[in-house]
Amino acid sequence: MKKQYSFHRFTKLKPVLEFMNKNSTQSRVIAGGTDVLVDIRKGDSKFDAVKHIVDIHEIKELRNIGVKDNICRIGACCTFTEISNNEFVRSNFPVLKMAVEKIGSPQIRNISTIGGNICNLAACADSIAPLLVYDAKVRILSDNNERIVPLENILIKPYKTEIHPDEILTEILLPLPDKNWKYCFQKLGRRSGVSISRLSYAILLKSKNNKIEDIRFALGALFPIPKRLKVLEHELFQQTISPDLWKGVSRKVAQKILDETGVRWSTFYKIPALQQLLFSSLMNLT
Amino acid sequence: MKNDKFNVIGRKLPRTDAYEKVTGKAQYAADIIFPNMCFTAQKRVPIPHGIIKKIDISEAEKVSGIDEIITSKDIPGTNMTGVVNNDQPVFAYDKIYCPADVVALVVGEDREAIRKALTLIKIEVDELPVLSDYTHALDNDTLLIHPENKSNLINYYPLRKGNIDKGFQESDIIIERTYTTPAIEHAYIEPECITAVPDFRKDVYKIYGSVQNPFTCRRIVAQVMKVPLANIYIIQNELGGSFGGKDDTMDILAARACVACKKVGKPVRIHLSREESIVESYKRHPYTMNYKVGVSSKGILKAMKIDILADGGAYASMSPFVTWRSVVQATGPYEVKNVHTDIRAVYTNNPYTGAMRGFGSPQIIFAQESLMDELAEKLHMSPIEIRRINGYKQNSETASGQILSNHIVSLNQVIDKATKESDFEKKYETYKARYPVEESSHSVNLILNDNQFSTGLNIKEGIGLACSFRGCSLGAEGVDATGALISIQKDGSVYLISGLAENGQGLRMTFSMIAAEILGISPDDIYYLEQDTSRVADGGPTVASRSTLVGGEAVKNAAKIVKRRIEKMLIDEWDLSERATLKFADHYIVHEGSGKKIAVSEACNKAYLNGVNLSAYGWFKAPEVDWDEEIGQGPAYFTYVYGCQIAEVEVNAASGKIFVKRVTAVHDAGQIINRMGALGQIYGGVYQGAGYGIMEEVIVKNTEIQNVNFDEYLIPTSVDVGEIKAFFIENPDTFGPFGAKSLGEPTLEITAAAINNAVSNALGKRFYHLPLDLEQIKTGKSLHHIKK
Repeated sequence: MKKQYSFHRFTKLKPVLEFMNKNSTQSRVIAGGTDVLVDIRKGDSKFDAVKHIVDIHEIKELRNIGVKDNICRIGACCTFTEISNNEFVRSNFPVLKMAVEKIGSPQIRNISTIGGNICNLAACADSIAPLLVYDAKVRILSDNNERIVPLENILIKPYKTEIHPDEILTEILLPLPDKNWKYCFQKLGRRSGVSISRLSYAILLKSKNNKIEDIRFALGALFPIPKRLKVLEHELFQQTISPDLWKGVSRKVAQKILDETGVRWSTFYKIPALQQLLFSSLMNLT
Repeated sequence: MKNDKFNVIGRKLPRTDAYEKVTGKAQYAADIIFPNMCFTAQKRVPIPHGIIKKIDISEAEKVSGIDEIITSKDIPGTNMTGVVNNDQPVFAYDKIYCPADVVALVVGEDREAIRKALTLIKIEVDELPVLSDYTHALDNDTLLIHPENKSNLINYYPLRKGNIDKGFQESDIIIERTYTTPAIEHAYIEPECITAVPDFRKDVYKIYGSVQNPFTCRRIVAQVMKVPLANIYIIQNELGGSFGGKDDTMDILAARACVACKKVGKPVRIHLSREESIVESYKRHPYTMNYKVGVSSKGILKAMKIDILADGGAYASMSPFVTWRSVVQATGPYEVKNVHTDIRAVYTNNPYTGAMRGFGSPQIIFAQESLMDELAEKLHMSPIEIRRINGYKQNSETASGQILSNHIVSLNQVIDKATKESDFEKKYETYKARYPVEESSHSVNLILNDNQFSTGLNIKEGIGLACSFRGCSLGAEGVDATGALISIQKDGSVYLISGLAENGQGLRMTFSMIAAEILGISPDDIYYLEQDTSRVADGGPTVASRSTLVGGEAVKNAAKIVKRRIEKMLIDEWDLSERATLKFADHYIVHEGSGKKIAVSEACNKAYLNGVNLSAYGWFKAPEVDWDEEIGQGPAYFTYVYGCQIAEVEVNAASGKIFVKRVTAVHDAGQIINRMGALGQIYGGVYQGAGYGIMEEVIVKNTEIQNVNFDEYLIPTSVDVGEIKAFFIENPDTFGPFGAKSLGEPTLEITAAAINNAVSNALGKRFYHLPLDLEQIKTGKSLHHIKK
């Protein structure tokens, strides 16, 4: 038997927050639906307690991209097509642009949203690693509260964020980076179109006189959830760039994944492949 | 674009159904709604092998909103069916043979109710041990899937030629290799849908659906319903792809729907979800192929010993025919004096395997063409040279002793064209020098040591060639004849239908062009009728790339009969000599000597008023072929086609990912009828072949399919293959219409082999297992995620 849900579509933010306040534990938010609808069709157990599907896709307030006080604000319901077509994003956040334009197919990018990608929190969510290297924060609203927190802090475990049932993710806030960052984004899938990441990573690098000034790593589809590697980043401060350094970095990243995930069916493929790819990317950056 | 010889044939024309399909107006099986129609849900038992003790539908029957629950007990005729062996139950009743088996069908107009009832059916089963590894199916102590057969052997074909021992004694180099290929899914975009509709006449049923072979379907349904063939109408809807895949599965679904239809007296539809479709439908056969080959130092093939095992799954289906094509073509398009081939198909509890575009050829071509390249390397020859030395030429003798004399043997022509168009030799040598042969095996350590990091470019380029010969149509598999019916109206418009069915390949356009050429009209003047078994004679199945060749000739014959009648009428009327010939072209009939001229439409009206019969049946029976099953000798097919494809790849050595950058495909399919349709066959075939080469695999773990939807079963998208350069060599054939032969399957069968050779050229090491996915390239192994 297919389960029945009541469906609520909102076009303004305030009423949806009120609704969520009243029905928080029985509601599930839908935006583009490219994850939610698939899960519902599968009969996923996370919908067992859900009675209401709350559609926020048509809330215009959640679909803006703008800049104010050196902060770029991307509405949670912006589609990947809107983001990758946005000139400001393209020129200031190239890693994000590279990541989102490789998600799914044009049809999927036309409907799926960046907020949905975060809230669903799949290991292979392609937009999260780039947001992490850009030090993204998220704005979260409930009917009686507003909070702005680093994106990293709300990522708990696969398919589980720290956004409360009565809350809605409304915006992603990205501090404007200076133009001195070198960058790369790598996504590897089994095919070139409509492809789920087997692994992905985003890297930002600033160097001076062949020494690392700042480096940021975020990985997707390698840990249970996308992740920044801040300890490693700190260790690399002021290190001299060389092939041997990059070999060591690649090995350390691989070792960290092994330590955290153990040996899985894909390990014998992923771990050697990642090290060579990462090494090549780092060599190309410098 | 017109050529001198023809007015219509050989032109590049959009197909008759293109507009409706592109604009979404075409009606597929699931688009058509019948009054009071019942929907259905199929009950399966989630085990692969067991004895059914009890089927309890008592609770399920109580659900309000359902009409009936159908089981084997409701079948009026025979429950066991099959296209060759009658070994597959329409409804499982005593035994479960594989996880796809259906025990009961819940029928009702309320879809929610039938889902609920489905969960209440209770089936008690005593589980039996399971056989999933087909390489052990013939072990002495193994369990038997169909114990009445006393063995798991479905069929065995030997082929013996010359003296194999002597051949190896004469050889300077002998290599032996084992190749394996996976099960793959047809991946037609439209899942199976069938509706059985009762008729007001007793025991008459009309069945509408996405059926590949209406006449096979009719035979199975009539057998199950125990009614004469004439009582069953199979009406084919537009097909959203088939690729050989909508045969047995559809026949059995049609039979189930019809049994239910009889019981409820209302239209009954079975419509599979994608997951059900992948679970229930048959697949391409996995093969394990051992090739031992001997060659002289000059590169002359001396001996080939081939041993092939095919996984037939739980039911025989087309295994006997699929493997027969393999045994005929197993040595490839090469002259070998001493051949010793054995092929066996076996039963397991796995998903059953049957017909799929290529039909037993993609597997063996992957093996034989990979082997030819490896031999060339050992002999320090180019891949072209070894093929030139051994490849079929005019009057060559095949492994089964057939002399290739009645058609133009164009293997060298297709190879020459493909190598020239792709600049093969230069690229091959360049890449080979750039990426020398790597003897070292894959590393086993997870964390790389310093010298395992590569500082060079990760992307490596390669080019590879593969070629094939292929017997056209059914060959010695069975009766090979078909008919076509043409009926011209008094205004010159035409009804046309043939015994073969549109499967999406563009048959309606091809046949319309053939009739239009004969009658001097445009294909637009022809209205191709809906396929219905009551409208036209049984012309056998639409398979084996036989439509254009066999069906096209029947259409041509039908059109010619009517043309001759019109001609005769005009000769009388114009007072011309009996031997005068009239020219039918551009909508006019002209006698060039006298300058007399009449519009085709006017002539048709005149014929009608004179009582001339403007309708006719054309028939074509293929020339005799023969096969000696004891030794595998005989003229297997009445004509052959030749093809060569060259793949250019970029392999990312770090990730193992292959991008197929360019495929140059050259096919001799005889005279091309519709150039646009023919190009479509090449583009589609190359894509499907590339999928087989680099990503497709139905992952079966202990009989259970792991990837049951297209999120996990991957087929190439439009951005996964780069450029396809297609060329035709058009040597006219003796038998086909205007000299046309076959194209559908040849386009697919060689691509994976060409890609494998290109990957070898890029990486300097060889691969023996398909698909060449990330893990295979990087680790030399298949790694699979197995669900708990």
